[in-house]
Amino acid sequence: MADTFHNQEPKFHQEKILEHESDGIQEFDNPMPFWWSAIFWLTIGFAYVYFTYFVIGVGASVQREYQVDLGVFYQEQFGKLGELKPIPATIFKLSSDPKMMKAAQGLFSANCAVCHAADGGGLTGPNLCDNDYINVKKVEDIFKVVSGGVVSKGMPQWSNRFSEPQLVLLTSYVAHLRGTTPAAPKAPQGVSIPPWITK
Amino acid sequence: MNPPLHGLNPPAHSQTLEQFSFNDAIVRKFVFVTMLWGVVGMLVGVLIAAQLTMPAANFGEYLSFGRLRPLHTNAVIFAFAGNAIFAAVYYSTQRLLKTRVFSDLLSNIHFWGWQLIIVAAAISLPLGFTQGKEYAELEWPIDIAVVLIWVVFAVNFFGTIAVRRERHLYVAIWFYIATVIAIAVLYIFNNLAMPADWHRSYSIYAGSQDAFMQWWYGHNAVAFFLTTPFLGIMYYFLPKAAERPVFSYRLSIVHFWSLVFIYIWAGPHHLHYTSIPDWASTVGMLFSVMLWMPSWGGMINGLLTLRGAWHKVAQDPVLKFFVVAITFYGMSTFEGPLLSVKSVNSLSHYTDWTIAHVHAGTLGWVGFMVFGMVYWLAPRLYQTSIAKPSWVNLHFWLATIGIILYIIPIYTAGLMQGLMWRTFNSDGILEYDFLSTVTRLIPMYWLRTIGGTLYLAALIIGCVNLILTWLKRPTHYEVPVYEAAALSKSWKPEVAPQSSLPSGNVLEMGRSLDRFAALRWHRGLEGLPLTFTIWVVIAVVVASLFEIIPMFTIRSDIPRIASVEPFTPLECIGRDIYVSEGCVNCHSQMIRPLVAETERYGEYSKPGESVFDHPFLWGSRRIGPDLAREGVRNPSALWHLRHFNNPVDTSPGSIMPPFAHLVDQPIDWSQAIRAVTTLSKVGVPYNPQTIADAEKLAHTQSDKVFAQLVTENGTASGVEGVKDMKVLAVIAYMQRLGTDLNKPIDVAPAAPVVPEPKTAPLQTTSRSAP
Repeated sequence: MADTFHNQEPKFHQEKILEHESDGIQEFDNPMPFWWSAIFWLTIGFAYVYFTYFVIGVGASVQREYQVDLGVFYQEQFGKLGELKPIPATIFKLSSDPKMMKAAQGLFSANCAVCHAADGGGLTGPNLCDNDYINVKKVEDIFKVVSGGVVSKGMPQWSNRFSEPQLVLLTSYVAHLRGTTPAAPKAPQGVSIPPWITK
Repeated sequence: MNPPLHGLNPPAHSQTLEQFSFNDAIVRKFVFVTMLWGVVGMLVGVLIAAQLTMPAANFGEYLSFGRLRPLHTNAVIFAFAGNAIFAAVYYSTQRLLKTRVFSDLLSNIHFWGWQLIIVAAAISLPLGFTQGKEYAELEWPIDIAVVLIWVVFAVNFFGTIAVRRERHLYVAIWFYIATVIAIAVLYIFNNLAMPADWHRSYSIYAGSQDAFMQWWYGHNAVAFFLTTPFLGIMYYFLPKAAERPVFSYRLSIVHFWSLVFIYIWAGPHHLHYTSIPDWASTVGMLFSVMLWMPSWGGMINGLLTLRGAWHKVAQDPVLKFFVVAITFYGMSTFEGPLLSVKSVNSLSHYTDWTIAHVHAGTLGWVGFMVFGMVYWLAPRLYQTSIAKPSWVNLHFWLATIGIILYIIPIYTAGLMQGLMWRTFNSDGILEYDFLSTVTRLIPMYWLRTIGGTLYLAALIIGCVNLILTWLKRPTHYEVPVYEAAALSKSWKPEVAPQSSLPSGNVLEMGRSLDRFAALRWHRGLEGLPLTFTIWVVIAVVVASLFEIIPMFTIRSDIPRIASVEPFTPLECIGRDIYVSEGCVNCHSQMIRPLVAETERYGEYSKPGESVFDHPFLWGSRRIGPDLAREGVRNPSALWHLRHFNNPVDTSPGSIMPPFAHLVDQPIDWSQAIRAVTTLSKVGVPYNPQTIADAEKLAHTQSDKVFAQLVTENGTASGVEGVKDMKVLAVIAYMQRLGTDLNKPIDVAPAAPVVPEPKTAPLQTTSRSAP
């Protein structure tokens, strides 16, 4: 195998070797490969154009791009619903819509389940499926607790985090949890309240 | 076996010949510890890989993931790669410069000093002594030792250059010079910190500026510790092993200087979409893209040097190691620029993709260069043949399979995680909660652990082989004596030949350009080490200052937020614990302006929010969720208590280690005053009253958190033991995170956030400290 290599007399045998050597190591006087120089110049050109457009010129900053993306996102998510207000009619309209409840479940499991359990049965936070409530007398109160929090007891102020339509959606989800059967219900806390007035 | 040394015959006209021999004892020492620390560092690597598959492998306070991960990175970088670099430098420099090393004493001080530093790191990191910055974790007394030993190394190295008998510096030496200079500059300026006591300090920089400095350092530690010295190794050992001339001298020159100059700028690509100014992130990206070809210059010069020697590669395991190493170098240095493109980075950042990228570079490039070098050196250093030649092949194949088993699952994990984090369902809700994005990766983490174990096993086989070889050594090592003439005093730098372009037909400028492009003028520079070094310093320092000066002077880049205040004394204690436990290794505190991210974590992080963060704790990896708005998302003290005590109690399937010791250990109250005093020295505006009352304030807040625990629990029974324990301080810190942004301010009615950095008027903090 070695012989075939040598018998081929490859082109580089005619290449110029520089006269100097270091500890026996010699160097060819080959030029840089053309494609190498070409790509190097291309990247330099790209950098020049990109910098001019985005830093000196009018290119959008990542923050501005984000604002645009966010606008589109909210448009898609809530545009078709119109404005959602925390009034019983809206809350119960949402809670009777399985599609909306599926969407709300995503919000709930990502944000609320750590304390209230995925099925609302309660962990460090109270059980949301029974008839006993601590700060809720009527369904609109759920909105107040969700958005304003009960910071002294560990309930976050979610209005810092969510838009009003999202808060209303969560409210209707919590209202909808009442009466469901969780896997491991926490003991009731607070006082028992009458059923929701849905009309 | 004593290989002949080439090129030591002096020119015939020379006057007196001087006799000299080489110090190979120092090389033998460094080679030995390279392999020893390699085993230790990779063993820790395998352990922390296993910890991510089963949290039960976190054996108590001192051996938990957060403390061991820095031990792994420091051991493999500074101990394994570091000692290999020193072995290579001592071996090749003496031969390339035809002289004994400048000082045997300094060599030994260098050796023993460096090993002591490694031992100090191996003890202090598990104890939780850390500065909290990646690859710069070692606390200030060790940092001082590192700098002193590095100076010893530099004196010894440049001293050797000064006493050389070979006029011209070979390309390997250029890369060593760049390493010695750049690492000194980077290490010193990133580690500047104000000591609070002998094992704790606070970075003098805060927030965005600290982040910038850290990744200027972090990125260039990769550049000048894991790249340039290994290119030096390649340029010496590869042509030696292949017995072929280097492919292109001109390519060496161009890729060396472009690499040294361009690398420095690229650091901010680690901070895309974070709270650093847009221009810095863009510059970081563009210089990374421009870095692609300079890096590939090294790869080409390596691989094309093997033309005419590929038949040897099939037979010689040393060359096999080198070829795979250079191939991985080429892959990593293509992937690097790719990952630095912002839109790619928005997917890859914080995921395992980065981990895969790094390990392709370190296991493939760095590791295999080291192994190739060690196997080439062994018969020459121990003056006997390798004890088990077939084991070398076994090492090669096991390690290669190990790398593949490591990186493929981790690339997959990184992609999966990045994609899961940004997936919305058709209702516009995030499809995966964070925990489920973690548990889905566990099978990949198992495969990675197996891959890492194979690589480690291969290394152990190599170590045994080396020991067996060492046992075969002659009773006395032969120390050949060589002769060469001293440098001639009358030498003048070579003048580049004139351009061959005809003088009549082209402009003089064209002729000058042609002469410059032929690069023969560089030969003269190679005979002038001082001038050469000054040019390296200029390249490194100028590139650094171009970014650092604007970063520290354009104040509108970091708009102040009036409602953001310094941490309270108790929160400072909690934050110190957070740093000590290495929480930052798994949790970022930096929400990027991306819809999927703000939907998951809340409003994106603003530069003004981390102005009191000494050091910054933005993190680089999300093994756990982001915590930048933890205080907003989850202020429940009881939840945090249960979670710290045993994470799976609140989060089934969590791979976070339990921190039960925080529940049992009392708060060190004196830390409150040390923290606020030291932080005020680095510019955090605490008022004198806060400093004076620090301990009292800490007690009050701790009691408040405890009271909240009791309220949430409904009864004191079950939580009474927690009073005054460390966990309360950490909970206080958690409850504070990210809450200042929307806090009502009672002074000025002005909008709390200055939105557009480019045009916004400057606002200063309008409130004094708590």
